[in-house]
Amino acid sequence: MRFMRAVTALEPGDHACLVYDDDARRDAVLRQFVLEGLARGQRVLCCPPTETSAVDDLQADGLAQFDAHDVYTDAGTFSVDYALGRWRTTLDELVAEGVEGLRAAGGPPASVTTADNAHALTDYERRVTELITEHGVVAVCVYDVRTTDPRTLLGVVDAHPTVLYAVQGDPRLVVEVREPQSLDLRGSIETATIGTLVGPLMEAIADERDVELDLRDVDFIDLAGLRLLVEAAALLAGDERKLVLVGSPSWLSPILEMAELDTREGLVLQ
Amino acid sequence: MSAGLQHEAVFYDGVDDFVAATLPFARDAVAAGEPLIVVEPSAQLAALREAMGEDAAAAEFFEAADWYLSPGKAFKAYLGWVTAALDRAPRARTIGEPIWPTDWTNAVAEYAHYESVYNVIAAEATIWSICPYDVGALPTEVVEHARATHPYVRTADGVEQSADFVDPHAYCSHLAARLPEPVNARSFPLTANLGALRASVQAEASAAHVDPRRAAELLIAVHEVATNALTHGAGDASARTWVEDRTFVCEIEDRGPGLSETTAGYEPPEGDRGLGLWLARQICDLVEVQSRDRVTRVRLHVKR
Repeated sequence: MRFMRAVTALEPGDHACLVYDDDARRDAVLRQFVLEGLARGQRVLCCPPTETSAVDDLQADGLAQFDAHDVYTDAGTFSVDYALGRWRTTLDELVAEGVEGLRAAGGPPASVTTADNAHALTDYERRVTELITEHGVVAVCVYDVRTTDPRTLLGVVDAHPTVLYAVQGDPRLVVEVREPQSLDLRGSIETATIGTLVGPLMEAIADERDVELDLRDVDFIDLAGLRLLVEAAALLAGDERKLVLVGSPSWLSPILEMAELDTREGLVLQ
Repeated sequence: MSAGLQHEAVFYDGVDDFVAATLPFARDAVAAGEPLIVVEPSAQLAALREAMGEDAAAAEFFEAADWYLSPGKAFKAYLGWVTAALDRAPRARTIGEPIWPTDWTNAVAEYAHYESVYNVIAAEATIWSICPYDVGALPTEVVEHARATHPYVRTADGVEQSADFVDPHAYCSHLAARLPEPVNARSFPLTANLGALRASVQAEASAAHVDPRRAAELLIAVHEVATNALTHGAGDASARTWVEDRTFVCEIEDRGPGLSETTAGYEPPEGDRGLGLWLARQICDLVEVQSRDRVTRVRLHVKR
């Protein structure tokens, strides 16, 4: 997995995940991505996850905009085969027309990025990677850390070969990267602050060692935070690695059990 | 007998009578190869186990004091046992009796709620549950709850329908109506900055001598219930804390679409739906829900 700061560095065949916590920042990246494609004479497909976005005002022959609900949901329900089929058909048609240089940007609406769809969305994004490689497309999928279930977020980020951040972060959680795989956390891990942690955590997971989080200065973890930790541990366990929580509070273990998050593969509490 | 839940109250007076009232049921379970769990106060537990003789090896026995830690915890434990039992047999049986907290009015009402909502949540499960009540030792109020929350009453002459049984939704609504107004409550604003609310609740809990670890756990319940209120409420959410005889209480109030006064927090969560309140019922010593007239109140109690 590669971590990038600039959307302009993407090349054909790249499938990037843009993680954001601010609509304006997301739109700035999307606009840059779309404008760059248009400037290069490429065909750009865009389906932002929200009803309005900063690319709405762009009018260009090369730009086609779609409603994310139409692309991702069939009769209101997310379906991997349906969404993948939509992209495949569109790309096949454009290739058959002889269009060269394709780029796509979009993301599922908040109604899709729920815990229930964690596995389906991860599976979908893995298959999109194959589709994109096959068609030589450059693609950016956007996910809002504020509305995406933490388990779903880690799964979909992991399914993308490239990750970009437009995360402002939240001052209530300070993350110090002591070493790439070792983070010191201070403050509270909760829905509002998860965006601050996701980036460094995914970079740590991309390292090849066990990941260590020092929680000694963490005063609170909510359900979303617990899910994030459990999901990160599960990702590491798939690689026979561990998530070590140093200085974990005494209530953590019973709460994980109460929240039925006790499938703790890969999780070590110290 | 119907295919779903069979939920019976059994009234007895003293341990010998308890054994006489429950032994045939327990023996039948073992003879039929049906999983059986017995959760009773020590004296009843020991007496039935002894009376069952060799059959006791086929049943599971638990002390009521270890099992009925709170209505939410006991409910989860039963559902867990039942789910596992029904994986290995087409029908399972339970004999269960809490140590009624007769000197804690709110908890008695919540255990009555628990008995009532059991009829709703376990309706489709092929479970035969008998709930013994020691009429010689229990106050009339508890026996009245039993008659209202069990569709059937078992006597020496057989099983009959309870004439006093009340529809669970109506009964839970009746129980929720009785929540008293607190005395000396402190109010706190509920904004998206939940850290401020947590800090206030923590300070109040500490002043009320709540064990620090329990206070830390309570904060998770408060945070999740407050998140629900902010997410689903229509603004105007607020929080209050106060101290009762046994407990420190944090109440979250909102004016959203409301919760079911019957099933809220008792229905096992599906994915994320209902997880916050379910978790609150696992964490807290008592959770009370009142949701009517466009106002929803969730009261979270921890012992102090």
